[in-house]
Amino acid sequence: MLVLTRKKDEKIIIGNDIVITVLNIEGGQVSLGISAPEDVAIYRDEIYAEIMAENKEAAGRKIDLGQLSELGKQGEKADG
Amino acid sequence: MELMTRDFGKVDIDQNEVIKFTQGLPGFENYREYVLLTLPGPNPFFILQSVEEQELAFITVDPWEVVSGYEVNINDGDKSFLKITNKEEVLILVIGTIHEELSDMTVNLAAPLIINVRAKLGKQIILEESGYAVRQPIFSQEAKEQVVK
Repeated sequence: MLVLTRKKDEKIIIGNDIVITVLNIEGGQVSLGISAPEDVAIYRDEIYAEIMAENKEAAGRKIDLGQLSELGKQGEKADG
Repeated sequence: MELMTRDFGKVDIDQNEVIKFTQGLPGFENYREYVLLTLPGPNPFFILQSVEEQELAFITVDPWEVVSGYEVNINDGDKSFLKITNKEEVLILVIGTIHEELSDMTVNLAAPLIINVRAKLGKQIILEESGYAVRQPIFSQEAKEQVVK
């Protein structure tokens, strides 16, 4: 892993079009400003990991379409 | 074209029904083409079936049919990425997770699927600051009422 040391207001450039700026460093927290093309997805690692885990859980199993259909109808009724 | 699906067996789909998730979904980054299959009758559920992998499918649901007070803001980057020009072409669905049985299903309100039905482009966005649950119960009245932030 490449390790770079940066001070407040200094930047890192990745490729041609991603710029990360150290905006603030305070009490063990770093604020980063990231500018990147819109097709580059940027997330906090732990949130992405949580969504990834949930998607894997959701994709888990074959479902009973008849039963799901019935549940759907009940939902409709509950909503009036 | 014919497509083998997880829940419906073999179905006939038109190539122009295929929705491209060009970044995949988190955890399934390599699967990028899906079709939305409908269930019989008036029903808020859809199955998002991978075109590339028969065994990969998700239960999805129109969130406004199952919870109240849900809001999704699509940022400009995602609007542009999905070529969204007006809200009529936007379909928003959330993914359901079944835990023990269907009736304990929760939905992932933190990461809705945004689909441009005209351009056939989709993306699962993450509403990082929203405080919405990844596992929101939907099949009880109390569960529905808890959703508002």
